[in-house]
Amino acid sequence: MSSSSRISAFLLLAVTASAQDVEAPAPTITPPKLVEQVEPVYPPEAFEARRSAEVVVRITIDASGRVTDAEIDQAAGYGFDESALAAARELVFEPALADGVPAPVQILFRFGFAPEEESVEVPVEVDEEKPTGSLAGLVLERGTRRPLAGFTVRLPALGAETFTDDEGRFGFEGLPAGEVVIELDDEGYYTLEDAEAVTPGEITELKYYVERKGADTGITVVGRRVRKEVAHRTLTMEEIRSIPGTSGDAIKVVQNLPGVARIPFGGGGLIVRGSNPGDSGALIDRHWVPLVFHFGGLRSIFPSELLESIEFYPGNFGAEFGRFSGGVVDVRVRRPKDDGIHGHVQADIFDAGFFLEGPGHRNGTFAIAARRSYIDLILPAVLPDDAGIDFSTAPRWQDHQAVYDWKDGPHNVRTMFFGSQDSVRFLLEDPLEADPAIRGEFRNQTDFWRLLSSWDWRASETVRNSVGVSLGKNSLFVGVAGGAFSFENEVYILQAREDVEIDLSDTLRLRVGIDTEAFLGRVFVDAPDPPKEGDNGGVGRKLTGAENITIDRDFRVVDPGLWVELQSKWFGGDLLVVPGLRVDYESHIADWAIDPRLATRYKLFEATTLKGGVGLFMQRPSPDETDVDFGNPELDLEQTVHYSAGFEQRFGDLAELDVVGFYKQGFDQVTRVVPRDDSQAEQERAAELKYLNQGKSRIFGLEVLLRHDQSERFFGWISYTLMRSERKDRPGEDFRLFDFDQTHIFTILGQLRLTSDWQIGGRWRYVSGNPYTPLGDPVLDATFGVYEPREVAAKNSERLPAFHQLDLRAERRWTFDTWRLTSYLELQNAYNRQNPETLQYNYDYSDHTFVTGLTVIPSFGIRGEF
Amino acid sequence: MRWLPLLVLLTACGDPPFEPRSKVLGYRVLAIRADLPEARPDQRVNVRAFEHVPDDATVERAWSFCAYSFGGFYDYDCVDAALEIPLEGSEGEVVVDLPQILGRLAMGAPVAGIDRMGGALDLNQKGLEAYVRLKSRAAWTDDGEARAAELETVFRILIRTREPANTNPGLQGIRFPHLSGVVESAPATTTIELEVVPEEDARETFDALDNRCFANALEGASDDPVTRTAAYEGCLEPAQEDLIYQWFSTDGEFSNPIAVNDDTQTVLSLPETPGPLVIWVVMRDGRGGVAIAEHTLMVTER
Repeated sequence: MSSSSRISAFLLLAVTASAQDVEAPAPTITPPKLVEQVEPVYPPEAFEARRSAEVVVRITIDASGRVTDAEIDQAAGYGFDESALAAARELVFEPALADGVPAPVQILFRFGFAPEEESVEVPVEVDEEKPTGSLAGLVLERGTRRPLAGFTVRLPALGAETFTDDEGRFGFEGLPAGEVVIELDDEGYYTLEDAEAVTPGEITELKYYVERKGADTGITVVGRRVRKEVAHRTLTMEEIRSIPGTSGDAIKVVQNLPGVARIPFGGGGLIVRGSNPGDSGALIDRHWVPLVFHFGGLRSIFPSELLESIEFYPGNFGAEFGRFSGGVVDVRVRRPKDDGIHGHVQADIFDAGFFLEGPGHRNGTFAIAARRSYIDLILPAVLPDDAGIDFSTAPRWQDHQAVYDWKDGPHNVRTMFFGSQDSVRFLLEDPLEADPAIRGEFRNQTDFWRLLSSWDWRASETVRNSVGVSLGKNSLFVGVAGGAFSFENEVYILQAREDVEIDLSDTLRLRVGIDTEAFLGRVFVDAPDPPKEGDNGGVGRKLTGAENITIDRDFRVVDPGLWVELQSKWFGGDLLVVPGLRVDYESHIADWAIDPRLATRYKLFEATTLKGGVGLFMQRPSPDETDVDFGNPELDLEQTVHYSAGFEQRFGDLAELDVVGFYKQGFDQVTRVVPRDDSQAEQERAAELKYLNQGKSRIFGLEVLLRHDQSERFFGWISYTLMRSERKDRPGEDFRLFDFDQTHIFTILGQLRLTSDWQIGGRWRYVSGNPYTPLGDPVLDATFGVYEPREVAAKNSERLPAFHQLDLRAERRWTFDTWRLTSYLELQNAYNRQNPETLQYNYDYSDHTFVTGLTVIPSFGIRGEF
Repeated sequence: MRWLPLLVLLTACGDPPFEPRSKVLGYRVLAIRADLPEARPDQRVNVRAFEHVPDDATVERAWSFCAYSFGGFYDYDCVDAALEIPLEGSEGEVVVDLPQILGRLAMGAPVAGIDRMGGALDLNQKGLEAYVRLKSRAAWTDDGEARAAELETVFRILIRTREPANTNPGLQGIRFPHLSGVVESAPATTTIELEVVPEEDARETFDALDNRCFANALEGASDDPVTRTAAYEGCLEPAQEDLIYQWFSTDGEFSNPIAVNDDTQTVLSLPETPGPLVIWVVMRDGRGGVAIAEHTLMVTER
């Protein structure tokens, strides 16, 4: 009896050292190379029965290249599994390299069993008398030109087989002259057959483009970033690029995750676990940016193509993140490709842009991208003449990015420059009847840019160091001509981070870091007191006749922060305990924050993990609240305690259930001072103090995420949040609902790859309506002719009708040898639900109606990439 | 999110689902005019409400005066109920005797020595915004159906010693462009062009405070009266008033019911129902100055 077994390997998951569940920056992985192959024994009974099979084995290889563990990933039965396991344990590899340093990895290794009398890499039998030639080839993925490593190349007629190397190259020598059929066949790709002539004494150069069958999976090497937080959700780019309702914008997908409330009109900002929008932060490579969405939340400020992953922490995050008591979104930028020049141009109904990346000098890679909207070119043309608005700059956004990444062994140096601008400028031809001070030119412009340099250094197998410095500028101008209000702010921001990780042992890792921010700027404000949470979103407030407060001042602030975290594993690694401490100093209010935090994870069963955490999270009051004229400079930092507990349950390789219950208790919350009685002294006290750390908040809820990871055909999730968020504005008052308290937030989304060219998807959302405070019983200020309403019921005692919406998307891809063309049609609000977003009152507040969101919007996009 | 109210307002200017504000269907206070809108503490001020009162309406009015309120932020409440002084006069007109009222306040509860921004009050600079309040209650019938309204209206009188004081803008009246003379009647469902005609000098020039300049000049010394006065005087810039015109009628619809400065014309689409139609235009200078003109025409069968 003889057997044949076809062997191929695929790198599936690259992790660090033996502590495989500790988070680390993504290294560059050089896959292990097989140096000692072992043939599995064909199970005799299976051979007799002429059974064939494929067995996939998950092999753990240590830093010396030795196989330390092997387990069946895809079983075949009939004795094949045992045979494959036995062979796998005997394999010897040249170790994998992580940033040039030998590192342990896990790979998937496939053993093929076929009863035919064929052999693997059998030398071609050649008649020494006959002339021979050679073939040398390159295998690239069709459309992306990505070199395919480990790809199977066969010469069926000659019984020869080989695999491509890391650069996608293969070769056959000593082939008999004449025509030879070449077969390229590997899992996930369409088989390609070709006939080539072998010329005596020559090497025939070949280049093949093979087409992928299913979804791209090779964009991120990190896969599932290993977790230490209680709730930490990682999204890989390929999973989210085609989610309906996002127009292919990856960052917008965060708004579909549990714990994230919906913002009226689909606007930007993040409301996480019942916290104020300003209590959650957006980071790019761990550095703060002032906004992540362009005007109206239609588009994020960073192109999806440049992202490695989006890390979303809805609460109980580690000590490395501070100054936010809500959630954190950390957008990670990937290293540009080094296997040739790639890029794309894209356009849809909102904007157009380009992206270009490729190898740079030595080990460097680069990427540049830019995007600009053209609503400003279209809107004036479609607005009716009697619209009453004359746009000099219709809503317009643009953003740009440049990245240079250089790697050499354990060093990775990256410099990024990116920026964003949103502007709108229009002329109101008549004053607004309800608020005549709003007339003339309205202008709003938001700019920011950042220059961010980082140096990651793997000093040894146990020590890693990361330094990042960003310098940037934020500018904001908002105003109405005529002086009703004006806001100008220009601030330079310097942020420096130093993060050190030391593996003290196999079970203990120490992480320490510095996180310092400095602000230098100028602010001019000429405006009334701004509306705050609980003020009905400003509905009913008038600029006409309001008393403006004016400030025009320079400011300098340096806020140092220090953090330390210990990742400690117990019970063979099943229990992970992560205590942490963060200390921040806020110089402008001279207040310290000492925030202890603790997170734990316990692997109860192989597929079941329990998790829990508790921690203290400080939040700065907003700048106006601590301003000497607008607010109270004596304010302290706000504090919130996060508690959360839950579990994760894997179902096979692709599905996971993540359930987290949470409770957040806020104290020292900044709220407006109101008179406690009708006396003059109380009115004057309220006017003088304006704000005090006197409020409380309590938020509790349950988040459920059932997710099906990206497979060849399907990806999707169901997310549900049950939540109640309440505020207590002043001592002695009752708790009331938070402005964006949304009891139920439900999202179901999925995308299905019908063929390699067609993909469809859908998303349906149901969200409880936001609370509001009914207004009525107005006073007519006859000096200006404006009606000023009163609150006629308890704050946030009413609720808008629920929101629900279906978004659909169909995508078609055309793949050519060297480039790909993709187009999509997206239908947002497919059944045209008139979703109430806020209230609109008549002139004297005796009647109201709902202002509804956008109607059905078809969006068409096209993208060519190479 | 910050600009949600503006978004709502802009949305509201698109296609209002309500009866327009300009259509006056029942008892309504259209304007209050003070003569003088800006007065010295030793002057008397006549205050008159311009109302639309249905023919069979009964109206009860109560006037009061408050020298110290935080304005719309606190629903125009007087800082202390004891500082709210009832004014004599039950009809649509009342006299505010400032010397008498301020003297009474000074005896009972002193007029606050700070302004609403926490700065020292100087009657020669920003002055003191006092409020006249009219609470009115009306009952009438409309096609045999009983109607009622309770309205609260405030008007600010600036008590200030600075010269020149603001005055009410002059208003010649309502004209009918492209038509000769005064239009007494017009056919139903037609349109009629209207023009508000201010006096030539209606848009006064005044010393406006440059808030930015003032904030900079005060920085670090806001409590020092000498610095404050110097800062104030040094940051005055000549400016011209904006006149805002607001149109009303008992029926029909205006093309632009509110306009500013040179945009003096509007088009009124007349109703289908024949009968008398009252048209008003209220002109405000944004500093308390008010003028109002009224015209009645007969809508005839077409």
